[in-house]
Amino acid sequence: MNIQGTLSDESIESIIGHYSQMVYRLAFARVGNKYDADEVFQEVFLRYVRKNPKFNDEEHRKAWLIKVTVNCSKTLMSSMWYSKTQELDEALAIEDENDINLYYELQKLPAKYREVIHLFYYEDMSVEQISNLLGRKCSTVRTQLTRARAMLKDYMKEEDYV
Amino acid sequence: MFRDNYSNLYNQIRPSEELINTTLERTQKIEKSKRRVIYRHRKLLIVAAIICLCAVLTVTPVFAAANDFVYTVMYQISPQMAQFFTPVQKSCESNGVEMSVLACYIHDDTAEIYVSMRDTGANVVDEKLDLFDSYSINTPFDSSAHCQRVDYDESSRTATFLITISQWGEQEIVGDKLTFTVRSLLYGKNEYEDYVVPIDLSKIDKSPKTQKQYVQLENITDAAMEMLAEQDTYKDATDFGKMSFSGIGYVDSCLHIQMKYEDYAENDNHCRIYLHDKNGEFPSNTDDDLLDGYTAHGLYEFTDLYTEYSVTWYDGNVRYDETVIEPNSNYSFEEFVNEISNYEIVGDFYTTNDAYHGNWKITFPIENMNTDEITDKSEPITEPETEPEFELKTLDLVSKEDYINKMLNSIDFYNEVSGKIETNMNNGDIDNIEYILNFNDGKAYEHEIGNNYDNETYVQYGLKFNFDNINKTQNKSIIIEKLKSDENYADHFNSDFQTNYGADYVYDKDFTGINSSAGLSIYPRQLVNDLMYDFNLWEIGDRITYSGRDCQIIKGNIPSEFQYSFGNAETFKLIMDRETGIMLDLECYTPNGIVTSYTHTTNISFDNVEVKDFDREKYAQYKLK
Repeated sequence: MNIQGTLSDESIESIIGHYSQMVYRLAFARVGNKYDADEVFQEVFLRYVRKNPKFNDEEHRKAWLIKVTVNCSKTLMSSMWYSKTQELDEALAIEDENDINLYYELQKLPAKYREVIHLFYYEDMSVEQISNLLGRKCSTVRTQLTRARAMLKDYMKEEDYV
Repeated sequence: MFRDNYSNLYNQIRPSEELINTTLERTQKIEKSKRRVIYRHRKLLIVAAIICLCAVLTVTPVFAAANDFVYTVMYQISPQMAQFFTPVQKSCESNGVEMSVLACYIHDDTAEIYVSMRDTGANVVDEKLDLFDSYSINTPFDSSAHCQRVDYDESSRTATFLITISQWGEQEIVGDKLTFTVRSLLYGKNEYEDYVVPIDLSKIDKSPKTQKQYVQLENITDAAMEMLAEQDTYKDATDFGKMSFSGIGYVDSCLHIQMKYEDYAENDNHCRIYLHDKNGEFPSNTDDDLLDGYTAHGLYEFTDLYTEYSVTWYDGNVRYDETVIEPNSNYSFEEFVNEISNYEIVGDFYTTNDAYHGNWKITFPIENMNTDEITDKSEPITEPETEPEFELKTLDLVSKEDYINKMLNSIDFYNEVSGKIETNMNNGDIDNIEYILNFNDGKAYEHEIGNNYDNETYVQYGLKFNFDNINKTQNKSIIIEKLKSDENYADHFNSDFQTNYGADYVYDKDFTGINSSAGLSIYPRQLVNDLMYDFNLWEIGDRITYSGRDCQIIKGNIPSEFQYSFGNAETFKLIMDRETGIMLDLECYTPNGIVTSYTHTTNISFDNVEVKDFDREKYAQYKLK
């Protein structure tokens, strides 16, 4: 990182290398299948080079990428061509039965709930951070988390409710 | 812990190396082309300025179409720039609008095309004309495209566009010609931003009429939910033509706002609506990642009062979007209603006229130019190589093995075919199937009509579209992109046949995706497996002419384990096309001579086969399955 708080190498290769997994996993969390996640992934980085945004720091870049990933997922899912089939892609090579079961339970959640679950539990973001990022009120994010947890109650233990 | 379980699951999810590499290449190309486009557009502006100057200083010549004039000047003033683009200057007219392809630049997997649309009587071309994403080039590969209106000339009512189409998967655009097609134009665009909707939210019905509706809720299809029944109360609250408010009310303690979009597939009506309080407080909307062409309204919560979601359903050519605003748990219903009564609906509304349709199609020759070099026009220009048809195999029919091989690999012996068959072998009912395949183009079409069954399937550009004409539904799926042209198209399988017979028989896989109904005739592999694996059970019969083709009869006994598949028939007679191995006719008989299973070819041709183009308008109102 340079003294301004951004990656020292801001080439697209470096950006993709740094953020590919974050973008892909969030896209997958929202759309639920590999094929659409692939589309969203490409679209996010294509927008990145087209818009060529300027960032204050690395957190700013990360937030931008997360927001665009969410938006691109929304577009895809509202497209008339969006495939509603949500079979777990064999190419993902997820074999553990618990993982597979969890995947299918997550698919039952509305996409908005899945994205807050992902940002909270996987990206370790706080409610406030999620709220600022997605432009929702904290109470909204808390409500969505609460409802998601309720729907996933079989997978939740007391220590998971923070 | 859930966090651990969740992390465990998602740690296994990552983008493939191929996806990363493809994305990197595409982004780097865009970075490169952005630098070039800036250069070219600067040049275009300079050229345009010079044109204007010439027009002022000289006797204005008879003004040819703006495109011809500009392009001629491009060559005179800036030959170096013009070398990027190959002149085309071909036109066609449809429904009172003339389309011209002015110039084209092909580089690797990208085609950049300057196109103009000139109004010759339709009265639709205006400064906001839009091609409504209806443009395409004939490419066997999935592609992404971008269209930018670069100019509008009021005097000639001509709009000029720069269209960039990139094929996915690093597939170079090759061939000796390119066909550019436009199907629809969108015109009459209007924008109404920050529009306050004159609806009093303090007088909303708390017991409106509702209906149980199967809706699309993001990724959940066909969820049955209680929605507003359509109301007339608010239809005149706004004057946005085919986009209107069709209901507002409280359902199950939630505020519902319903909007109706008539002929939704024919226009680009869309809006974004918000609630703001009487102080005018509403969310900042500086996020430039918000999407163009946003077709569903969205409400942005800006208080801690509620959460919201939107659902959609269709009724023929009408789409309904209903936003459900659910109060947060710390508000009672009465408190929520009181709060809402202090708000008003504000929105950004975008309307268009219904699309104007036509059949604009231009085929023109192309040259593939290296992106890093400027072609020296003094060098002799060689004729572009013609894409060869896929070399067909030949196989003389001598032994039984030759017959097996030819039928298993019929796909190697023709590149295009069209035909009609009647069969009862799909599901016991009589089906009539029309099929058209062209491997050169990577396109296929099939129409199957049976008892309460009418399905059409199109394969184009790596996608398979299926339309159920009875239930008016549609489906799209990705097919394997490889075509016969690909290096490794011959994907050899070990079939049951090989397992049964143990011999080194292989067959090639059809990548067009049409391998279902017509496949039993044009790819008779399964028949070979079921009927012919035991050489002792069948014989080569007479050579005959059938449906105008040189054919061979094959007849024999059906292996006992497969007799049930053919209606418990015990013998068969098959007519095979000698040149291609296609099964043209089959009858299976019980011992009494009753035909239990059959397929008859009523028509077949291997010449001048053209696959129907996919007509988006015809199926626009089909619901997505």
